[in-house]
Amino acid sequence: MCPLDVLAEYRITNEPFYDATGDEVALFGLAYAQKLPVMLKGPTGCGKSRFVEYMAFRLGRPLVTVACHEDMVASDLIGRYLLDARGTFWQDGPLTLAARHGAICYLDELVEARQDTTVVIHPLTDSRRVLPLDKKGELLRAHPDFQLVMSYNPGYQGLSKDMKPSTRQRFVALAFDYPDTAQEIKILCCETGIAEAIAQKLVSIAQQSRSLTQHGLAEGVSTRMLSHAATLIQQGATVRASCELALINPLSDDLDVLRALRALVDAQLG
Amino acid sequence: MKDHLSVQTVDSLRLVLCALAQKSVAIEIRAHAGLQCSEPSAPQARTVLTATHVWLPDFTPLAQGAQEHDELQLARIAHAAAHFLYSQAGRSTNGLKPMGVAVVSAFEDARVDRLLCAKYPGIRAWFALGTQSHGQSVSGYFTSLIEALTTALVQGPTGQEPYWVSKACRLFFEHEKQHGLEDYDGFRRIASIMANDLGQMRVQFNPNQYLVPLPYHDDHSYLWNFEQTGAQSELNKSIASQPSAIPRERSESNETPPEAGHAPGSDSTQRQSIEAFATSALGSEVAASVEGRSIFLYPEWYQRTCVLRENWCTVIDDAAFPSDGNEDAAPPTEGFDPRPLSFRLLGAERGHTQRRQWQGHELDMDALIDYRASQRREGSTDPRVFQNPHVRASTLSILLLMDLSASTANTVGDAQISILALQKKAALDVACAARARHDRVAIHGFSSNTRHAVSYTRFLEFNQPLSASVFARIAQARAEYSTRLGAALRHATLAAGQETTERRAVIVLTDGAPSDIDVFDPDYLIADAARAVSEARATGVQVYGLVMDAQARPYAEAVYGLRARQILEHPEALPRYLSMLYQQLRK
Repeated sequence: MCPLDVLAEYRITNEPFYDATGDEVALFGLAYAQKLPVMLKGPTGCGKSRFVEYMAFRLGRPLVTVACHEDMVASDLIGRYLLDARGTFWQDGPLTLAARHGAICYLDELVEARQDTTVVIHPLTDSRRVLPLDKKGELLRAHPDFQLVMSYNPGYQGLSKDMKPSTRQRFVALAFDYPDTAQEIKILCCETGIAEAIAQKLVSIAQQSRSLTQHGLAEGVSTRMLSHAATLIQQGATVRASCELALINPLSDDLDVLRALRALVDAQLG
Repeated sequence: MKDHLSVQTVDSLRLVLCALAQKSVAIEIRAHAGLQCSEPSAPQARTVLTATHVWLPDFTPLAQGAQEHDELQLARIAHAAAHFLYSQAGRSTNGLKPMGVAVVSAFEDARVDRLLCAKYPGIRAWFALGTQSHGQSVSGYFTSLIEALTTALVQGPTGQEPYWVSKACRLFFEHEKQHGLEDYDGFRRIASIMANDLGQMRVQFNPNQYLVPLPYHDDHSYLWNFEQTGAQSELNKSIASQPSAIPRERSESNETPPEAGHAPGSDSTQRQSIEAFATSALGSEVAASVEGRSIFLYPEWYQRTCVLRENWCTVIDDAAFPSDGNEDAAPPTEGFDPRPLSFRLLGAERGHTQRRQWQGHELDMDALIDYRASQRREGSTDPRVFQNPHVRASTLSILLLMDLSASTANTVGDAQISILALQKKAALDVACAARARHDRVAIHGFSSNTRHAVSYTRFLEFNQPLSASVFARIAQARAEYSTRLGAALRHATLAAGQETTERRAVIVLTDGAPSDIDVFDPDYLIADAARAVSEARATGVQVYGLVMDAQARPYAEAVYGLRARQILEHPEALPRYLSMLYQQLRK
């Protein structure tokens, strides 16, 4: 089977919208040229995953994404033997697939995985660029185009979860944050086609919610949440209902926080 | 949910205020300070602002007409935010007569309200409701003119206003059109002209009877510095005597008085005998017992010479209290709600799938396939092919270590609750939640009076029921002495280290840097505490710090590290932050 066919479903055919906030596109490109593993860190919904999609499209590489979780084991990344009518066969895991055929492997929220699971990436992230497949008896040498990218949120995951220093220090890191006001408005308008005046109000609500993180709110309204609200508005929902649906209710279960957010939306919308 | 959300609380108003004002401001309720109920004029009270606080005159959220009440409170909060954003506090009243001060203040109210409405159009509706009298009668011609003026300036004139109000509106809007609303000096000149007109109209103004007419406006004391001029003493007295004036004296502590049996004399005697023992026990590594208390000796790190001073600190551990057999009679802890608010922050209980088990409720398909595949390939097989999808054994032990030093008696926020009381509430909240989820939790506390007497109190042990007597003991805990954190932390680590769970953590709740009266080098006990944290982590006990001190960043990061410390600028948020930390630790 041709490698291109194997990765066909992982190719990004349409250019994702991404508006650079700085020189992250150029820096990622330099890291990719040297195949350095990249860590993306930043708050929820600030554009980390979109950035990886955009870079994969821009670099013309397939993107294999793994949503990490605490029940994940090493074989979920590497692969395992499976059974069929003819007996056993080896099924590559997403990490092996990407390393074998030259894709960008994106480990989303890597800190959610247990530390004993994440160490399997170590041989791939240094000069060796190999992946030992013990069960299969194979030492896989990574494809020249393979790159490893991971993301995590240092905010709400910061206190209780962390990577081993031996894992962390294998990556170069790009720090993300929410865009500034003008850029966030532009992103909403370009992404959803919403009117600029409404986008301004949505962004203002988001910024106010973000200022509450010093007062017990884990995270404020993200750019992604704003995009959801704008999409609903474009689909015909009222601005207030969209805010309720996409901004207020998902953000917290704390009644005081919800009351405050509703008042802030009222203040903004009138 | 919508019904619940229709009624604002002090907490939700505080969040709105902080978001609108873009700064940290506390809200306090005058009724809580015991000043409103006895005052016949209380319904006419006005909000009072200071740089850090907003004193609301009343707060009865469950009263009839909750929506109107809500909007009035929101209007008060928004108006306060407008002053914080756009007004300069404490201007001199030099050159202004009392009537002039009142008129300039009214113009300033209107100016900042309009600025805020321009930014947040929805607030105009709150102000509209806030301009209604709410059954209050406006007394005096001057007051009725000011009421008409501010209403017309904020909500727009109706055309029915008296000539003086119409003229003021015309000048105001012309100036706004030409120079914008940011030009304070311009509006002040107009206000002076209008005050002069009132003088020529022989309008009477009695500063002792004047009340700011709109219920959502503040009493204007924030805007002026009356002490710079003796000429304004009349209005100064008037504002001070208004029912909205700030309470002049506040109790430094509202802690529960020390319970009987803690008489200074007896405590002192006991302490002397313990100190005597500690002196004789130097060098001993074995805990001993004196008068029912256990003595432990711990080292202390001296950072200047990089020497660990062996057996330097004496920790006096009261050991676990015996049950008093009176499980039902204990009063609730101050500020503690038996239905902890923080429960709702904990999220749904999630089972952690135990995979590859020898036995279980269902087959682990991955393990089974591995097993069969290995059989087919005649390789080594692992027969652990079961999983328990929803059984969660306790994997977490948390020791909550409360700082019981004297400074925790200081009150914060709502003036009704001390830092110690906040710690108690937060600890009990999390203890209840943890026990409900079969996690192991203990609550200990400490204070110190020199290195010879680090008092360590065990309110709740890991294996002790969370009974009413535990609540009572915590309620009786008092704030005293200093904060020798390192020794207490070593002792807490010893307790947490005996737990056999997968993860063990000590969470320190404190309000300041480690200190003691026999230490003069401010870095000494910080370095020792940092060393104690490192020692704890080396033994597998994680240490986190929730520090209720806005200036804590340098020492908190030194002690706990960047990722394990949380600095709380608002101590009132402690219960929420502790719940969030517990939730994160459970993941």
